Amino acid sequence: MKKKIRNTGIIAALLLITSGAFAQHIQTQYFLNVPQSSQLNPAYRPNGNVYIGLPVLSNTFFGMSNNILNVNNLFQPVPGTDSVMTVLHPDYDRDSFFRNIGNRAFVSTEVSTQLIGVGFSVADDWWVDLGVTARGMMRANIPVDLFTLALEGNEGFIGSSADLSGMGFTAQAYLETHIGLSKNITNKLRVGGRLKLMQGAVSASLEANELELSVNDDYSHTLRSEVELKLGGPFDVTLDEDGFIDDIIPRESPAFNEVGPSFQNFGMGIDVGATYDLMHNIRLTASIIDLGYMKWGRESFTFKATNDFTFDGFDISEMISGDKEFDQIAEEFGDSLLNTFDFVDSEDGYTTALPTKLYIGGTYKPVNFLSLGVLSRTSVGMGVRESLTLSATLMAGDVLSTSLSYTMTNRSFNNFGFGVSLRGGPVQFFTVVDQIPASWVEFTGDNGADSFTLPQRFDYMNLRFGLNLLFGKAKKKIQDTPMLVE
Amino acid sequence: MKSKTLFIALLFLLILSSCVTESYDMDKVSGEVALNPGFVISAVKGEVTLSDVVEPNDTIVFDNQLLKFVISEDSIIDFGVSDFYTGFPAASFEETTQVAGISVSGIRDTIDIDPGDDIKIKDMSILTGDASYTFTSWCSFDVQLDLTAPSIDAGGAPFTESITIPAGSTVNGTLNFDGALAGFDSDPAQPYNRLPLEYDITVTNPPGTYNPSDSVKVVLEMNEPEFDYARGYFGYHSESFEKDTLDLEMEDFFSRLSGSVFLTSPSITVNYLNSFGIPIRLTANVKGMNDTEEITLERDPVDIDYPATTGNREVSSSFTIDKNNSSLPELISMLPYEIEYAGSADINPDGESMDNIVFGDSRFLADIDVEVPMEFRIANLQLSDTTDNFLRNDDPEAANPLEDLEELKFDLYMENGFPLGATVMIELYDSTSMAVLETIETGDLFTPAPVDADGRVTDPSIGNAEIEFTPAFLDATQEADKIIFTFTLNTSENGTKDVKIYSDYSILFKAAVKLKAGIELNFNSEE
Repeated sequence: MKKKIRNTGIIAALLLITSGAFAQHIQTQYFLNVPQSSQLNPAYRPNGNVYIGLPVLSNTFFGMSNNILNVNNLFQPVPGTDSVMTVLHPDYDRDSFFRNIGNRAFVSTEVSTQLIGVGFSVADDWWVDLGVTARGMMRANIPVDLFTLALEGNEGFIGSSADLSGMGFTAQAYLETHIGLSKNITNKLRVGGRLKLMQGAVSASLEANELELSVNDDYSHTLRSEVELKLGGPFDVTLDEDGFIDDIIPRESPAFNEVGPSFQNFGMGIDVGATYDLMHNIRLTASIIDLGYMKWGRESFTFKATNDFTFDGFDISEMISGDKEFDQIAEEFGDSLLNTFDFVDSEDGYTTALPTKLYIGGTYKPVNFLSLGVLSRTSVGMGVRESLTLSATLMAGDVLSTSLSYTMTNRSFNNFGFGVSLRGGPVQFFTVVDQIPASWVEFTGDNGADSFTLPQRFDYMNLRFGLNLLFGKAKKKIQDTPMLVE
Repeated sequence: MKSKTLFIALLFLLILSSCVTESYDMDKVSGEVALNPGFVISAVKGEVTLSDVVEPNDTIVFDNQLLKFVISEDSIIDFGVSDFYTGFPAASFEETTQVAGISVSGIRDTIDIDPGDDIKIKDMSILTGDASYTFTSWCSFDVQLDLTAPSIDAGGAPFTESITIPAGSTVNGTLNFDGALAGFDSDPAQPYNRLPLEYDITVTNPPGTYNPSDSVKVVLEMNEPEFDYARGYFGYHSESFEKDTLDLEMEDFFSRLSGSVFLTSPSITVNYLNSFGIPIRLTANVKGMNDTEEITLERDPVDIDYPATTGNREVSSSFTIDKNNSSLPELISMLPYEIEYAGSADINPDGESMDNIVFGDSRFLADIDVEVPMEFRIANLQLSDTTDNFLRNDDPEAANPLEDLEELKFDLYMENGFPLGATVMIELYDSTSMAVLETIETGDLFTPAPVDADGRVTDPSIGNAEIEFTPAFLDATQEADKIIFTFTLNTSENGTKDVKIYSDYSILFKAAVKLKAGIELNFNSEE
């Protein structure tokens, strides 16, 4: 058993650590003058002629987002005391707990690191970049109705439904290879695109496409469900006689060709973007990132169970007539409930979509060294999420670029981010963080002997840093209109 | 350049302004937990037809779908002729006749039998029977004795027997009457119990002289025959059954009932086979008693059917005690604790009005069927029962799950196809303080279905009921040691109309549970 858990942990770690991002990027990065900004808009052209990303060092990202693990969401001080109370405490403001969750709670983590990255300009207008990035992500969703059911029961759903659709998790790890091109189309318009080829490593997802529990007025319950399990990796799945999954056993000590990136798990995607200089100091930008798919074909397994079932009580007619015991009735009910599921299993492989993002933004330079920006980000993948970032970026020539951002996301409205890039000669260091922990909470225990400090808000944390080699300087177009003297 | 520097400085200032704003001492995390989830669920349902739950057997039957309870007992009365008629003792005849000539003829006499008090046998068909004789001669010569029984028909002619008695000898023998029909009524002076007898004595070799001592003694002894039938009059007899009381042992149960129940059509049927050709009249004096009243059965005496001719040896018949000829419904419906009964059987109750016939194998065999058709009316019939409080946990250390409930409610939906409705009252009783702590009255759990003029249900009664266990009631479950359940039953139209229970009646029900938990825990508590 321990071994099984360990192996499961190894694969989970692979899913998390191996490679790149699932859903998030740092919006602050969008406004910072670093080559990695092109990840958010391929039309972006770095301020250099050649860029070389140092292996592993050039671009590492860790992101975490959730709407439930906030310290303030988990603990509240007991008014008038120095005690701390949990969400289960009678005085806890559970309404705020539910407000923070919204329709569903989620936890999303992602890790990526660029293994190779180069970029260079061609004929001034063109910018070409190539790269190989390992990406991994995991995201889990828990509908708020599940919390409501657990904490408040099903009474509040009489005459309505508890919508548990979307509940589940998905995780992927893959290797992404890209080539990107961008070019000025006109003096004001620059467009770019990026083609991505993916080699999947492992993936797993368990998602309730539909999971709805209706509590009818007569207290009967109707369950409508469509649950899909997808596995792509070294898992051995056994089914019982009813066609239901009996066990999922991660293979012991899988070989690299069982868990490493492979074109058997082939994926392809594109990024497209554009910038448009509306005025000499106003630029509009738009991009679509990760529009594509992954086809998981190596040791893939799909299991789908659908059901539409109403429970209106155990039928005890035969118990009254003395023909059966209640235990027998309950057992038969369980069997019949299982029989109401339609099970479909397949080893034909499956396709997952890349988590597509849409960025729309604009920058305004009131003065030459200051850029004010706004960026809307819409992500699709296990639900649609929207965030809006406002930024102020200060540019001290090519040497220093700093950006301060404010992001509204995850039903939180006090996320301040910060980014800085510092260039000395060809070396450019940058780091970007989307949320500056403005306040921290110190946890003490064991009568003060132990203590640790956590950001008060733990719901949104993205960090990217790297070291680039950047050579040359991009030529700036002179957009001034010649002055004519009669 | 100064402004740039200022901006960057402000930016860093903002970052550095991050500080510890709160401190949580995890040693002081409150372990208090309070949850009040409310749950609803359909718990059970079912549709039960009476024929599904009642398996017909010897006691429970469906007679044209009507439910009946039938109690049958075989051979409650079984007696034969030996129990009724003991026969008659041997009858004897003794006569000495002097022989003074060659022939002594025309000697006539009778043999009287004594079958018992007031029994007058007129004739008897003998299966096997005989008479022992002893003829003693004191004559010095041989004589022949010719014996005739003129009323005994032996194969179409009177019975005769000739026996030679040697001189000075005694002859013993037996007269066989097998298959003969003996008439005991040929003497007009006593046309019963008397058998005429004739004999002649003839001297086969006459002597010269006859001495006074020449005589013959005839001794006959009639043995009790096995007869096919005996006809006559077997007398008036009255056999009384002593008064006795049957304790139904239902006082404890019936005393907890109030209101009224009336069983409309109970009946007791006695089926019998009778081969005694004798009029018998049975009289039963039955009385039901409880604390408040006595009701007598008021059944007229019953004359038992019997065979009137020898050609009809057995009669199969029955008699019934029911609502048409007695107060049986009232007697049963009074819910008697005891039944007092007495009675008598009169044989030839009208005297000697006709001949009786008793066969040699006469027998009276009776079975009894008690039928209680489920045809009744009930008005506010209350049944109370007290049980130990099963909701209370006997172990005071153990957690009481009811403590965590703030609300417990059962919702019932019923489609009642029975003409019977019920309400329930649940009382928590503390026998120490002798007080009812809390009471729940359910109202109508289900109402009786309407019936037609014949008592048959026309449509189900559809309704909802709610049983709510209040917090006070749930709390009191830990104090009370008894629970008193009181059921109140009514049939259709408030028990004013007779209803019948048929096998196709059904009841459809759904029960849902609604509960609200009040879970309060404190993990900081050492308890």
